[in-house]
Amino acid sequence: MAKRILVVDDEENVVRMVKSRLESGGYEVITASDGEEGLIKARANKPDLAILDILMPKLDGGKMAETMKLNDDLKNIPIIFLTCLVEGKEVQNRHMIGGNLFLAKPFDGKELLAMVGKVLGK
Amino acid sequence: MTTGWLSGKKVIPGFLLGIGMIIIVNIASYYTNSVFVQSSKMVERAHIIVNKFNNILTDVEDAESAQRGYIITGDKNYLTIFNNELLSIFRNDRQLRELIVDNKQIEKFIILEHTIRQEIDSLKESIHLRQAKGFNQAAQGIRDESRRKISEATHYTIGELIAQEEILLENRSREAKPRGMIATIAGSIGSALALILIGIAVFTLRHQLRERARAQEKSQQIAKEWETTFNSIKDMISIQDNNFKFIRVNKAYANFLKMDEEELIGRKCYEVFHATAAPCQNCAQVKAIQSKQPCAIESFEPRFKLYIETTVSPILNDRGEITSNIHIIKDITERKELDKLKDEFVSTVSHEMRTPLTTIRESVSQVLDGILGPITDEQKEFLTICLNDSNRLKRIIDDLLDISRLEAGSFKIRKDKCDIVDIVKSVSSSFYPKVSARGLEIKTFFSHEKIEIVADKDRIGQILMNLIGNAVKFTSAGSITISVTQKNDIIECSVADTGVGIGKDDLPKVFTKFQQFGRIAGPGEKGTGLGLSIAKGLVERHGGKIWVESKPGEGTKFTFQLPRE
Repeated sequence: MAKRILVVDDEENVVRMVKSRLESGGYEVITASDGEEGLIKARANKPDLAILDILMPKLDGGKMAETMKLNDDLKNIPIIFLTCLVEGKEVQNRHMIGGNLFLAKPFDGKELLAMVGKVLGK
Repeated sequence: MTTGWLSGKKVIPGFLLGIGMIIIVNIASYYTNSVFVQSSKMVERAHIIVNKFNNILTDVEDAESAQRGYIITGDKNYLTIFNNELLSIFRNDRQLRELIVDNKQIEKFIILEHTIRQEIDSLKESIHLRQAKGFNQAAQGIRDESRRKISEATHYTIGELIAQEEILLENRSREAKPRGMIATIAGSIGSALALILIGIAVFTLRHQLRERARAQEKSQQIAKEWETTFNSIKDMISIQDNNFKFIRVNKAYANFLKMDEEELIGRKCYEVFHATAAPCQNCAQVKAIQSKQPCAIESFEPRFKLYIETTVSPILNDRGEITSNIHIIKDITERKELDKLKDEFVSTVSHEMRTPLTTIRESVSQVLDGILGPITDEQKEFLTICLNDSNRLKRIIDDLLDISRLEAGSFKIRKDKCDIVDIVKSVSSSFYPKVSARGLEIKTFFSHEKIEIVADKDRIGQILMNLIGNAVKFTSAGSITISVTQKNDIIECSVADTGVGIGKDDLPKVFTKFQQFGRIAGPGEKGTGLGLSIAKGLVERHGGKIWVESKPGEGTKFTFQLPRE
């Protein structure tokens, strides 16, 4: 069965690009456009990996990740932050969610696939 | 001041020379004068000698008369006269002997003395005859031929001596005349020289006084100009001694502190300006005193909520000691705020550009990768161009953001312990495909197997990326050598290539942003013109320094040093 990946970004076009790239790699993709929606989808779909933007309305990527870490069902889901360089660096420094991977925008699709493959052990 | 004999420095030797000349002339004049006086004395003495000779002659004649008178009359009064004359002859003779002692005539004089003695003896003999044997015997003696001859000889010798002395006299008078003239001329020349010298002295003195007055006026003028300039400058300027005490402050400084200029003098800079008990941690004056070089620092002054740029220039005396320090404080708050605004603007713009760039780049990439179906070769070519240029656009955005933050001072680095050998290895390995494709070689040299440093790993990687990237870009044949050496607490890293090199005129500009000159890039990625400025900014942000050496046609070497901690 194909691995399931949750992609959360408020930029519709970015979501579309990521989805298309991941699907080309044989993954099943579910999407959300903000942190709140992302949490709902995560609880509902139990993804194997979450790819999060940081700057988003309602609930940003960082807070969403923190919430996931506090939830027993979601805390083991690996996270890749797909964001701008500076915000990514900032997230890397945060205690709760530090140690997660991040890929800077504009990203290289092949690099993203390689990183996802590594995380999911493919 | 004018130069030449009227200039101050030459007046003293000039006068010494003049005085020397006067002394010489005076000595000469004194000498000629004394010779003249001596000559005059000789003339006078010659006169006395002649007189004495005449006296002796008269005495001899008188003695002869007295002798005859006695012989004829037998009157004894004549004997008394005779004896008196003899005494007179002896006296004159003694005096003459003293006068004549250094004279050439001494020989003749001795003969004269002898002749006179003979005559006196003869006279005395005839007087004795008269006394013993009477008139006839004595008269006989007088008529004796030999006695007459003796008397004649006396007369003749005296006459000769007088004549000789007169010739000498005449010669001396003739000699004395030119000597007197020389003395007069020498005296006149001396006086004339003295007058000329006094004239020059007066002229020089007047000239110097006038010059001095002019110089004084000029220095007063300069002092006024300086004072006005000093007080008109809007920057805060102070002159301080090495203990941070104010020697002078300008109006802007006093006005800023709302104090009188006099009130500030003698007080310490850090006490008054920063309200601290010791100099600031990165005080420009401390650094300037240490290095004896002008030093400038930018800082935020929390007391006044101002950004200031402090420039301290030490003033050195001839012995190389610092006598005072010129302190210039410039309020750069406005500039800093503008920098911050610019930084915010660039940040926002670059962030906003990133999202569309992401979708452009990724959509092109996916079409190119054939995810959306097959494409033609021509489509592939065009999409490749599009992809390369979006990559370039991405680099420009990244670099712009970096340089903007470095300039605004808001660039954050995260220092951690890391191994610089590891960083160099990983960065250089990313160039291997490109390098081997172009037939180049990358050589590395490390002084130690592991060189640990406390620094921002990513940023050190970025510096190396920029330097190695440049080296590869501008080298068509040969090699790129990267070496890392640890020297005590400093780590030195260099990237040397065998490329085209940089012209002498362009070298100082290499670290200036948007400078893409001279070096014609080979095929491949185009630069942003910011790489080296960013590298410099990042090195300095780590407290290090970077420099470049290059020879056109031979290669370029970039070196940077970083403190270990």
